[in-house]
Amino acid sequence: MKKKLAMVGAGLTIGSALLVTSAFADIGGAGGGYEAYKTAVKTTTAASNATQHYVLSVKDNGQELLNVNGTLKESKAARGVSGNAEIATGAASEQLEFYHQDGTTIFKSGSSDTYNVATETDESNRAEGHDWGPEDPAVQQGLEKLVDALVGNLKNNVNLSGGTGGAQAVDMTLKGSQIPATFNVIGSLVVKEALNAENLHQDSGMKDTGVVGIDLSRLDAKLPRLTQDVNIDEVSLHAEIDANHFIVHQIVELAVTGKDEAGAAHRLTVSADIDTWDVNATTPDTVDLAGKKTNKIEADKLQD
Amino acid sequence: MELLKRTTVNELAKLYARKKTIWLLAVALILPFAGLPAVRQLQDGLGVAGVASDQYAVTILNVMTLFVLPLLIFMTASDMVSGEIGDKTIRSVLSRPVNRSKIYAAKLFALFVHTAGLLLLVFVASEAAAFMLPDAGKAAGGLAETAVAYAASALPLFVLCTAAAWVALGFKNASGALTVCILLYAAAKGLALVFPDYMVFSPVTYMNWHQLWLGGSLPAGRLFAIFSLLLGCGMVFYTTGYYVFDKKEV
Repeated sequence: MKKKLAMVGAGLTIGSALLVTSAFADIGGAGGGYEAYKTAVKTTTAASNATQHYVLSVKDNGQELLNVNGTLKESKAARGVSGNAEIATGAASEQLEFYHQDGTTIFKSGSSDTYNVATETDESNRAEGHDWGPEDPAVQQGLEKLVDALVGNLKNNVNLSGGTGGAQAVDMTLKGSQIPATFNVIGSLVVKEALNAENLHQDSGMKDTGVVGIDLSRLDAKLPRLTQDVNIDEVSLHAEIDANHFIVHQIVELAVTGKDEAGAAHRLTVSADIDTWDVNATTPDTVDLAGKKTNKIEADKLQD
Repeated sequence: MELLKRTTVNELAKLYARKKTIWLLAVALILPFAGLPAVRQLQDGLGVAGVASDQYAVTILNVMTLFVLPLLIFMTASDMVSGEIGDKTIRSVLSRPVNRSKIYAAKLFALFVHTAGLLLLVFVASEAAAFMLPDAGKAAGGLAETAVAYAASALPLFVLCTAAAWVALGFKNASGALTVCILLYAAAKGLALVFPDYMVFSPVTYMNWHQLWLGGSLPAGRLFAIFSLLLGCGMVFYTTGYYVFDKKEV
């Protein structure tokens, strides 16, 4: 009888000791990286203004097809945006400036001195349309929980490393079967549809220079049309978070493999590299149109 | 030790004497092939790989550990414990010159062996199915990694075995125990939606911890923490279960 009790006692003791060990081994902190990133995303999106420098790049089998880089200044309070972009596809490149001020959107191509001005007539309607859902704290909390549950154990793949002075870095790389099958299927379909979208390859659609005053036809990026075995191969995220929980630097990469109609294999990598600074200390630039060449364009054309 | 081995063999013999067990083994063998048409449809119809052939076996394992294998474990555990208590056949086991600690251990060992056998069967079947996919050329690529994932997935399933046997001890009929096992499991999974923060301490959260063993870089600290949590839960369920079994009037 004593032997039995000793066995039960020992089993319980060792078992509970292991449970306590797991708690000390920071199992509760699972997804510490995930939580840090989530907080940072919330803080960063809540900032009322910021300046960002971004580089978007699309490579096919290591060769760059499309590169967009530019600066963006945005202020939610002033409802203003200003920025510039340089779009390069191989040899061809195009400069673009854009502003959003006083309810008008202004585009200017680097190769002309005409400002194309679009006035939004239904600004109030659109603002109302945006007010549902995401702004409501209850809906937001519900969504957050849903996302948490969907992310599930993927949280364990998010690594957090501390830097100096409260700065943190978050890294996540998902490869092959680590990527949830549903995400892979939906993502692959989206990528495939995007690559096969009509206006991407039909020159007639791109030659319409009237809308933003830029000849985009020169910029055909020659993206491959993947039709078979489209698969998301790798997803990676690197984010640097400062002591105030703002994401100051972020790199997101997505690698997609697949075959085109001719059966040639492609590996497309899409990457976005975004630097953020002057958080809550940014005023978007404005342009004074007095005395400048302008061209009125219809706002509804922009929404197409 | 010999006694324990023989009692385990005895339990397994009883298990495989049931037609139901053989049928369920057949189902586990066929299920990996049932996923093939869906994947082929994705590949031929929509042109997306969806599940590449080197990832097929792991995808099957994800589905299996989520509900198919837990369900089979619950059924076996309820038959083995509640069923025998209910129809009093457990008396014929207890009347043997084997003490109750060995009988309870043998029942769990038999459950572990059965579960491991199921995993092996699913592994072989899903790898065979992967070779039937159009891009079978790379099916052999992830074989070693997949084998590791299958082996790793045994641990949370073993913990589930101890938990199912623990629940089944409180019932005198197999269907009651099965129903309660399923409800408890579903509730534990469902609570994760409501309390994601607390669910890190629940063993059912880690049914798919095999995914952490994929992808080359192993998060050692995390694996250790989950390993101790699962082992700890298993030990607590096993010892308390044994204690209840030892005191039980049948």
